Amino acid sequence: MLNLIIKDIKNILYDKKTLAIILIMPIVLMSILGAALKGVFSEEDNDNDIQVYEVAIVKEYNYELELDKYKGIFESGFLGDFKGDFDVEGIDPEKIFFEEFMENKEIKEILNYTIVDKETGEQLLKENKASAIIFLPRNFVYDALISLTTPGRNTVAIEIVKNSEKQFSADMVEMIIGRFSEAMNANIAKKTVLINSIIGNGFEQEQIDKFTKLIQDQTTEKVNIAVREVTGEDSLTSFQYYSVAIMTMFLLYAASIGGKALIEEKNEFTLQRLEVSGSTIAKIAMSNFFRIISIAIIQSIIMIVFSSVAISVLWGDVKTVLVAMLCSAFAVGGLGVLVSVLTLVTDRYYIANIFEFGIVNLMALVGGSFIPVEILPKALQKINFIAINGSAINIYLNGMKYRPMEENMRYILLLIGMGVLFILCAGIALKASKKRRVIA
Amino acid sequence: MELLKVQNISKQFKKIKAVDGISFTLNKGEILGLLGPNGAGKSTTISMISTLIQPDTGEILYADTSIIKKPKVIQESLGYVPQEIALYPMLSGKENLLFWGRAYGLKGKKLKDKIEEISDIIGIKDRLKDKVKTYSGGMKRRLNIGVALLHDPELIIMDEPTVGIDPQSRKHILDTVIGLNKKGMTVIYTSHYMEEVEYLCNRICIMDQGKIIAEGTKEQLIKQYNTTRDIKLKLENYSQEVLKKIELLNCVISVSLLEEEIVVKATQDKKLFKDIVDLLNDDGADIHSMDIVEANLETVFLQLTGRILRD
Ligand SMILES: Nc1ncnc2c1ncn2[C@@H]1O[C@H](COP(=O)(O)OP(=O)(O)O)[C@@H](O)[C@H]1O
Ligand SMILES: [Mg+2]
Repeated sequence: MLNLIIKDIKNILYDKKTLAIILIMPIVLMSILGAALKGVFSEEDNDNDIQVYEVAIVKEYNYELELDKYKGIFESGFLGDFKGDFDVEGIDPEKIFFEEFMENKEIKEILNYTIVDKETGEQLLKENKASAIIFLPRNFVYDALISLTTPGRNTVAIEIVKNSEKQFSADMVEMIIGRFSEAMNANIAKKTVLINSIIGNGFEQEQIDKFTKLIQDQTTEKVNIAVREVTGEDSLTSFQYYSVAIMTMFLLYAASIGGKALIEEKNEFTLQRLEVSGSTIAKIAMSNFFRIISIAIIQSIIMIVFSSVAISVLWGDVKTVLVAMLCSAFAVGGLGVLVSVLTLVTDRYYIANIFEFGIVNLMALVGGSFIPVEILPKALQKINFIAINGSAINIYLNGMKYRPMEENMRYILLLIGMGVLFILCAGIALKASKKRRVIA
Repeated sequence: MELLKVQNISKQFKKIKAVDGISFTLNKGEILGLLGPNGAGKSTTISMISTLIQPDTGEILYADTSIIKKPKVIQESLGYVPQEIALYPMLSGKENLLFWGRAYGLKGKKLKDKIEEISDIIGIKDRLKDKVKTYSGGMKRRLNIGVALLHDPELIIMDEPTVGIDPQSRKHILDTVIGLNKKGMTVIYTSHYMEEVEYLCNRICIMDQGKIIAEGTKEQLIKQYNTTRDIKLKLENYSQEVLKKIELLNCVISVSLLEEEIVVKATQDKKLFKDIVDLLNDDGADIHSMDIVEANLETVFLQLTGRILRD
């Protein structure tokens, strides 16, 4: 039996594609998600140890001059019939950038800015006192106003100079400011259509007011979206939730790899050879069970270690983590064995495929690996624990919240029960097919 | 001494009767050949003997014990070389040998020594560390055999072990089989290559459409089922009359013209050769070549079924 397991594990280690799916993929996914979350989310609860990036902002524009220039153009009738004197107040680009964006509660927790001149900015960068310099270019105010309120589309190019020694935080800054630009551009695209239609139909003061309001609403809304917080459970961070979610989802892939194991051995004719050597299919299936468990545990450990080190996820209570890991591996092992046996006795490879592409993804969804359970429809929330990953997620999350073990009992029993049930079903399927089975 | 006794086994796959009431015995120390075209039922027969499939009817006794009831009896003493390469391509040759050795309960030094010995026999020693998927077809075939030899089986069953390989590897394999047999191993060897079976086997069962249609030593089979041989002539300046005269000779069955060649089918007769030459000389014909195709298992099979062995 040990021999079989060693062989199976070697086979996986040598198979780079499979290895990539079960180990590298989740790590990559976690990293990407981690980085993305880091840029957009803030961690409200532990504001002590959260890092604030210092940035220097250099204003290269002349506010008064550019505002006058804009007003001049606006009132001169340069824009044809489209003129008037509505209030610039609500769409003041400087105000939007500084007061609505940089001073936004979430942004402020990540970015701390000081307005400086160019030389001072460069000095700060050199002395590693800033992660980046943000240049608001000449004509920033004018271009932004034109873009926001007229059919013209003057691009607003905010320039960022990154500190190469603070690569990571500089990237963060770039990403956040990128969000701002995106929001601006999105608005610009929308309003161009709107202005064109107004100009086409002639205009009334009422319409202009409406339009002005619309621009203001949109601008604030967009900027808000860029920094919107999707909150995890209670006191948990999004990092924690998604690390658990991704990990449990990839556990299901361990089952789907195991699900193909027997039929693949059959197609390679090694299964037949094993049978002739005296190993029963039941024994081979059991070894497959241990293989899936081993993969699942190795996956879990690697992902837990990786997420704690690389993106500082706190996994909470060690005992709960261990329990969650073992129970979920057990259930996943049972599931994989059942699939492998069903695929073998029916001799239908597509059963394993259906499982891999259909059931795994369905479980991942229902269990809450793709999106938090809270967002799912109520009916799905109710049966969430049926998916292995659903129960596993619950235990892990409880561990992170240092909840007592009693609260996990129901999930633990569920996972173990599922594992046992799956194995029993697999056994019955093997027995029932014994007479008819032709493996040659 | 009888090692294996197969009694009236059959196996039906849905519509196909793959094996249809086969019986034979295998004596210790012999090489028994199962010769038959593709689809004759050789592999199915072997699968039943190696406990992979249960026969629908009949009984198989190994050392007087039913292996249908007690598969373990044969499993431990059987080396099974399947028709397909049944190895782990991602593992190295050595890892495969280790794995299969352990599957047969070998371990430690004994297993290590055995791997040394076997890799010598099958001639893959210098490639042991490489992954099997990088091996040539011939090397895979040889390893496929090697894996079945690790546990010193009493009986080794080889199912078409030379399919699709180079002549050198084939020669190596055939010589290996003879070597093993000399050391006392009993062998069942299936093939659709008549030459291999002729070269190796003490006794031959000719199979077709799920049945054994003839059985015996090569000589017995030829004597029993093949009384004719072909004489192939390449001639110039000959008359049609001489062909008629040849055809009228006592032991000649037929004379036919195949492209450039004249084929004379005749029963075994020592005088025939001389008679033909005499007739041709009288006719003044130039004899460019004269070829006698002796009867072999191929012609036996043709005689028995009206078809040729190979596709
Ligand atoms: N598992 C199977 N299912 C259905 N038909 C099979 C199966 N195995 C063999 N057969 C059929 O049984 C016949 C005998 O096959 P086989 O024993 O492999 O012949 P051979 O080894 O002599 O080429 C063939 O017609 C083959 O198609
Ligand atoms: Mg065959």
